Amino acid sequence: MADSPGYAAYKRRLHRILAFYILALIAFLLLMAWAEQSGLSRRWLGPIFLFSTVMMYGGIGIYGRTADPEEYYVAGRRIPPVYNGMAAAADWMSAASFISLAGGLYLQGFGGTETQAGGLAYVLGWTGGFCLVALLIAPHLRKLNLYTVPDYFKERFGGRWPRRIAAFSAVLCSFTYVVAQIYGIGLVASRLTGVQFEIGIMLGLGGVVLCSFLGGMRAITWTQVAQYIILLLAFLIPVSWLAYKQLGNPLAPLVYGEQLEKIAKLEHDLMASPAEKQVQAEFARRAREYTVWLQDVEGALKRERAAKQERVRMLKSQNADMELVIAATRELAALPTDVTSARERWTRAMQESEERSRPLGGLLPHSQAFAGDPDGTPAERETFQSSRANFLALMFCLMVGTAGLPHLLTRYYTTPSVAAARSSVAWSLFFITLLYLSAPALAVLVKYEVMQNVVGSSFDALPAWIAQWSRMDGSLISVSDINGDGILQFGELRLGADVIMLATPELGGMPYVVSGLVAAGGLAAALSTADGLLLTISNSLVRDTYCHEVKRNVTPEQRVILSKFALLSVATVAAFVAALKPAEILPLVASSFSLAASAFVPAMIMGIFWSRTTGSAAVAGMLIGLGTTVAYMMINAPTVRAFFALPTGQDLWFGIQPLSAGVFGVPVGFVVIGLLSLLQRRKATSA
Amino acid sequence: MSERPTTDEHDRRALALKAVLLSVMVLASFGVCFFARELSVVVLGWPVHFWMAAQGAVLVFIVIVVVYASVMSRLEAQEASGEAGEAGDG
Repeated sequence: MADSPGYAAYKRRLHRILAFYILALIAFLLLMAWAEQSGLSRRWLGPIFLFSTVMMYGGIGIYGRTADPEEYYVAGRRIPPVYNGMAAAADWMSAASFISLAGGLYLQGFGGTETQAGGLAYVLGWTGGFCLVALLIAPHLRKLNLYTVPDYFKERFGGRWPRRIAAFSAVLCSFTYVVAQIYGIGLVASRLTGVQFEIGIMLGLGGVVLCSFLGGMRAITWTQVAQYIILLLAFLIPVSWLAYKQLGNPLAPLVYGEQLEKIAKLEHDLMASPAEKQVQAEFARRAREYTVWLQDVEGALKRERAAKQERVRMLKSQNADMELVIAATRELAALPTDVTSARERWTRAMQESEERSRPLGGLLPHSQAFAGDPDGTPAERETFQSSRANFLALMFCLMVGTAGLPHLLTRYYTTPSVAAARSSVAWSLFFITLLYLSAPALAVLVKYEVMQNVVGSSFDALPAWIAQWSRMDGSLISVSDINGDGILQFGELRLGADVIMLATPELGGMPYVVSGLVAAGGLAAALSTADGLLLTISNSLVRDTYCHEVKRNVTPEQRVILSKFALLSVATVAAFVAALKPAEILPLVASSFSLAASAFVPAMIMGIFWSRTTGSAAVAGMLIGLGTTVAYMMINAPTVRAFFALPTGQDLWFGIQPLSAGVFGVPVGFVVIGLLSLLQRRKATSA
Repeated sequence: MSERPTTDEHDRRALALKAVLLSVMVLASFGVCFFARELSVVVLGWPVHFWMAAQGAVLVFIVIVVVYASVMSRLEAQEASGEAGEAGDG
């Protein structure tokens, strides 16, 4: 299809702007590097990165401000496929992809254990889903000239309920997702500027809200393009640096296979090392101690408290060193206050100690596929089966969830034609792949660096980044000399998934500019996704709910204004929830994929490909599918179980973890929709 | 319920294309991962299962999406020239 001359000129102008932007960005980085060389303090570099990027996003918002509905909701439907692909890639790659993915791959290797599947399932799921989007969904939705995803349900099935449920599900899964993003924003912003977590959230969120508030989809599209470039540079520079340092070739994805073999050898040595075994034995002892305590929580708590009080009294009476007394008092104060919290905390401590009492601190050998052994004892065989099943289930949920997440699908509404929507999906996948091929490489390179250079160093001479990060939050890095030999063993160092990407530049000895860039990249990833999600939520609330349920005669201009204010309030609520620090980013995100998968995908695919699908069948399928997923997550959530006084532990079906609940919800949805549609048609013909 | 611009009319050839490409995708992802243990051998310096899951399958996905986009555009162009413009692109 030949473009009109006006459109071709528009595209040329965009190319020029992009080229100029990339050059400016590189110049900015060089300038910062020069400033650091000539003595600019690190304390200034972080805030400079934070403020200049957030101001730029806000600036694009001001430049792209609009009140026109066509511009606000779908960016005028004239975004060229390449740019839309870039925007979709940034929209797609969330804080989880950028901050936690490499960390997850570091901890889980190929596929993780049976209770915590992951690893490459994330890479495969998040890219494979685009095949579903490209082949089954995006072009078909684009054909209908819609504004939101619930619009499809209104168009295809008619009536109120399909639209209502779609709007409700869009809000539900996008909200879970946006909380995870804002958590990431807080993490990065507080790291960059050294302010409190909550203030970090406000700082980061300010720019994004300004941008989507003023310019809607139009402004968001161009900020996402800008953010994509930043996050691409921020990911590739440290990976290439590390690859060059270790292997003499910056093209990490091509060469890291070599390191996999070296890691296998190091792992072998570590498993045989006597010092590691001491550490494991100590953890095993602690695990046993906690098990004993847990048998009689009340008594153990009393005994512990008495012992600690006795120790404090003894130290005081001996006029011991003040530091010892303070340490003992602190230990006494750190004891759980009541029986329930003691049980909770000790159970967690027991599990952690048990995990770390295994070889390699509970991690699997990096390239080993799945836990257990298919040719081993029955128990090992079962572990293998269940770990493989969980890996495949998680991959399924991530793929199908990709095809159902409303904020991604609306991105393809902004292309000029159906053909452009198709090629735009291809571009998105290409831009995402640039990063995703490097993430496993980064995990391998970091692991090699840790095993080869960090492990075995003396506790007096630990690298500065370890102390820095562990001071910020003990769950990010915890390190202690378990066996008391003054040397760091692999089992004594515990890295959280969220820290690995952020600490990579310091680990590889890169200048602080790279750290700033990585943090800015993490911020860009979280902000771009939060942008798209907030817009989706507010549109679902205003366009698909308020304008149908409450007030029907709203002019398009009023709708835009209402959407803008809904966006502000949703952002505020989400920020409050995120400030409670709900969970780690990766599991939280994965659960919203399960929700989106079971709510949208069966009804959408049946509606598109089977003309006999009826509206009421779609409603039932969505409700029952989503219900199954939510119910499975709920009956396995510890707090819910405690509330209904169910025994602790889990009720798993086929050993599948609640994270991948969509693996049940999706088929249930398909079956319900198919059966009910057939039943209704038969009734209609026989009546 | 049928006079709206529906999405549920499909070209046979397009459906066949989708079916073939989707089965390739399932083989490259679920197929390979199911047999990951069996594929744990090193070829050209790479453990095959790890390379497939970390890079090979992702490259296959890109090929699938690109093939789909280009074949569909050609199909639509054929249709438009054959039946004198019934294309419904917005």
